[in-house]
Amino acid sequence: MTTATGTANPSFARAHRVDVTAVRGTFAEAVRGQLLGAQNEDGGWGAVCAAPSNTEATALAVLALSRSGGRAVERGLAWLERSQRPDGSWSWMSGVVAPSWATSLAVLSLTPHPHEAERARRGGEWLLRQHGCRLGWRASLLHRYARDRMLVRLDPDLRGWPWTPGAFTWVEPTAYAMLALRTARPLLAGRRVDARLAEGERVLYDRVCAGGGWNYGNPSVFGVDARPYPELTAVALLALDTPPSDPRVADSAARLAALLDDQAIASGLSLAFAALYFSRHGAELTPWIDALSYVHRQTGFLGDTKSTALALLAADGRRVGQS
Amino acid sequence: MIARGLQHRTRPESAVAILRAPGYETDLADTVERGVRLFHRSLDGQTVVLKPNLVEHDPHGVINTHPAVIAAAIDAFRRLGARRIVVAEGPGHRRDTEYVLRSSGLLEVLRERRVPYVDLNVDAVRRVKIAAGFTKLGYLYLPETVLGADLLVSMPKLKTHHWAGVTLSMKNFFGVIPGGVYGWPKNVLHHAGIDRSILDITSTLPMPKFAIVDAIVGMEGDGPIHGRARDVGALVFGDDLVAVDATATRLMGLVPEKVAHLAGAGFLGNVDSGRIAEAAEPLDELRQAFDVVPRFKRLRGG
Repeated sequence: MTTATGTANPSFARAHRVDVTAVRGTFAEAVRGQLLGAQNEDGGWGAVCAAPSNTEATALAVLALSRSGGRAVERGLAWLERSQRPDGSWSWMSGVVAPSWATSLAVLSLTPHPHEAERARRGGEWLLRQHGCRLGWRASLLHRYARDRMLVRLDPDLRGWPWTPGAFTWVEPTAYAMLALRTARPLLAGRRVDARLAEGERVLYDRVCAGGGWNYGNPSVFGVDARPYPELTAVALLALDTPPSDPRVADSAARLAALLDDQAIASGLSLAFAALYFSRHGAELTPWIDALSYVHRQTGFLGDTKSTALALLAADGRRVGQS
Repeated sequence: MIARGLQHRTRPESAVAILRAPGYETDLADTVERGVRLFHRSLDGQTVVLKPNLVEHDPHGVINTHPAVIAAAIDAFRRLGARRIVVAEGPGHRRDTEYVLRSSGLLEVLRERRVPYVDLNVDAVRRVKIAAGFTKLGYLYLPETVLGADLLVSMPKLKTHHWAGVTLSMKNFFGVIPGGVYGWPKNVLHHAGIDRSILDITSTLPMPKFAIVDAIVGMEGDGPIHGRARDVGALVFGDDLVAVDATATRLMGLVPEKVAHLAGAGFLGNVDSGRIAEAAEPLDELRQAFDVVPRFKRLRGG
């Protein structure tokens, strides 16, 4: 389904296409309205409508709505300002005392706003200080000298980003941190950013599944190859910022397109991430918006703020994670 | 190793009911109602939270709690008078709720029955001090939906597990731990010790609990994802989750006293078969010999 230029067409959506132009415009308005209607009194967004505000949902909603601006974005930014911790990080939601991976999304969201540059910089500095933990000397030795005896197939010495400070490195927090640091690079010391981005790339290439694609970060467990997940494959591809034609990611990009050709697997979240990736590298956006529109009509993305915000970013033809 | 949990001398005997259920196409609601009624005559006005095990795309009905069993539980608890029923889960690998619900077939069940679903990974949370203290975590963030339940029903699939030996009603509570705080996978719990974490989570959930194990088709070998299907044809019920898990382990032909988290669970419930009454079908008539990964061969009898 993927050509050398990265064009991918979920065929189930093609079968349901009505009027492309109308669908695209209507869809963008529908998800924008859904997002605006889900904003909480405190200015933030929850995982779904009426849920307590959390950093991930608020950051993505602000990012998605920022082009149109307005009071909703101001209130969202104010929520993020109030929620930043003294060390520059953000916790997952109020009441949780620990800093979190969602800091990456807050940085991604604040960076485009010049008056938020200092907050974004402090968040970026916090991210630069975070490393996944090591698994210990035994895992390192096994990886070097007896790789076939490892229960999980990964390089334990590579350190990307964990979900929570002090924990192990996984794909999604690493990818988000890379997107945030690339965006906030002008605010940070470039050399340190480049070194961490290179480290993150090594992690992602190490964790790729057999045949391409990514899951949460275990490509093989007990000698069995684990399956890739479309949404995380798209996130990792976005973070690597590499076109589908590049041999290093060609298998993964092709597998992503193939996975999302299955109506039973495609969701708002995976389609939106994939649209953001493929369109960044020149693919026609329309088939993806068709697919998103089709799924949205069926499920409304179950009211999921993250999926809705990402779908709006895709429908608006926005680029995420570039400096 | 976890020290063997003390069996409370004053703890009353527990009952566990194994009811035959030959397939997912039969009238499971009737079976589930019979199973629950052995323990609960009425649930008038109560909020019941059903916690199934949803892991991955599962076209053959082997990995996840089958949606037909969840549908049957919704119908049965309604008949028993539950005021509000919520299905809630926080998958450990997948963040994509829409995908999980659609691919598992659960979305259709929920829509038909107009039952809400809560993704526990992103629910509002409350910090709760750990009751038992097997890990050094000190406290857990727990979802408000779970803490608000009058009855929390753990609905695992009968499976072997390559890290924990078996995954049943107590291990299923890993899914109440919010990924938003702990990540996907909930690796903090793995580092704290899977068996210790199972005991800490189960002991810290304060509400009455019940278990319905989907043992119609189980999984043997490299569970919880890559194992093989194994027909057992039963549902297992009980209000002592330790006794349910011990019985379900015996149903797989494994020795619960050799499963670390069950060996340490004596402070929560009964493991000893002499203190567990068989309330329906005799265990021996349905017992099988599940395969396990090499590191857990020791769980077999003998």
